[in-house]
Amino acid sequence: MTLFKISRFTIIRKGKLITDTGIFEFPSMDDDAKFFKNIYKELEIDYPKFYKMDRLCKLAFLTAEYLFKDKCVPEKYGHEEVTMVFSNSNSSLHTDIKHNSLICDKDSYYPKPAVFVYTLPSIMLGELSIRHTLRGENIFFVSEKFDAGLMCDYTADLLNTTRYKACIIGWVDYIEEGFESALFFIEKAGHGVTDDLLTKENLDRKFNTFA
Amino acid sequence: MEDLIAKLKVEIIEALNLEKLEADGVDTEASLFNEGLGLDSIDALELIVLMEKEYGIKIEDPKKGKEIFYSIRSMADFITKNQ
Repeated sequence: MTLFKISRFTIIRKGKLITDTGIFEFPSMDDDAKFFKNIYKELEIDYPKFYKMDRLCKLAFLTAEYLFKDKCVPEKYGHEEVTMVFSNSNSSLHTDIKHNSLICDKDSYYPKPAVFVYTLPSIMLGELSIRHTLRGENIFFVSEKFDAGLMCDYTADLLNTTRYKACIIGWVDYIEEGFESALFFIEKAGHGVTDDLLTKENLDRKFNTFA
Repeated sequence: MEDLIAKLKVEIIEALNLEKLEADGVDTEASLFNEGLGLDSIDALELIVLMEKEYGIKIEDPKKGKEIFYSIRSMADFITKNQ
């Protein structure tokens, strides 16, 4: 059985950006939309589609930008060699509520396609696939809390039994009351690597950094 | 017609979340899809909803969509003829 490692990770939680190289505190803002826009501008990228995404996708997008900052995934792996295993607790609830508000009045029934298209949490996987040219399969679980055991076992099984050579494990959750995201890049551990192996305990520990 | 065109530009920027665009910077004659604004299929659906919601016009024949939504000018012409 091949061993895998958590090569790098990025967490956005409680106004902080936490990576394997350090911690950065974002200026706090009451408005989440402005908060995300601020981070986007901080990244100095030009990706107009960002503005069309819902908040859940924006959070996933921004976290992935930091995960892969200066490190282009396809340089090391083929586009079909990277898979994604994501989960969250609140599905696409924030956008679902928005969509519902647009269709609940029979006398003013005008659903917005640009809102409706985000009423599935797995859409964030599509957005990341487009942005980072990832053509592997992906899966999205909904669970009460981050299940490090499931993420670890599922990913190890994928990487041991399929053509995939790397995986992004993700937890991206957004509701009005709070949000957090954590992305982990998983790849084969080299010989003699003992730190940061993909285990339930290591994944849990990294996930709970500044929780 | 020019007032309608100005109104349409503002409405489209808002409906399609074209964050960086100002109404003054939108070319009335430019193609909305492909080059020009580079809108996609979801944007096309939003324009159809906008047409019905703001102007009370339903697009009955989908085949005419390409012609109606070619540019801001063609949208304004269509609205003027069908209101």
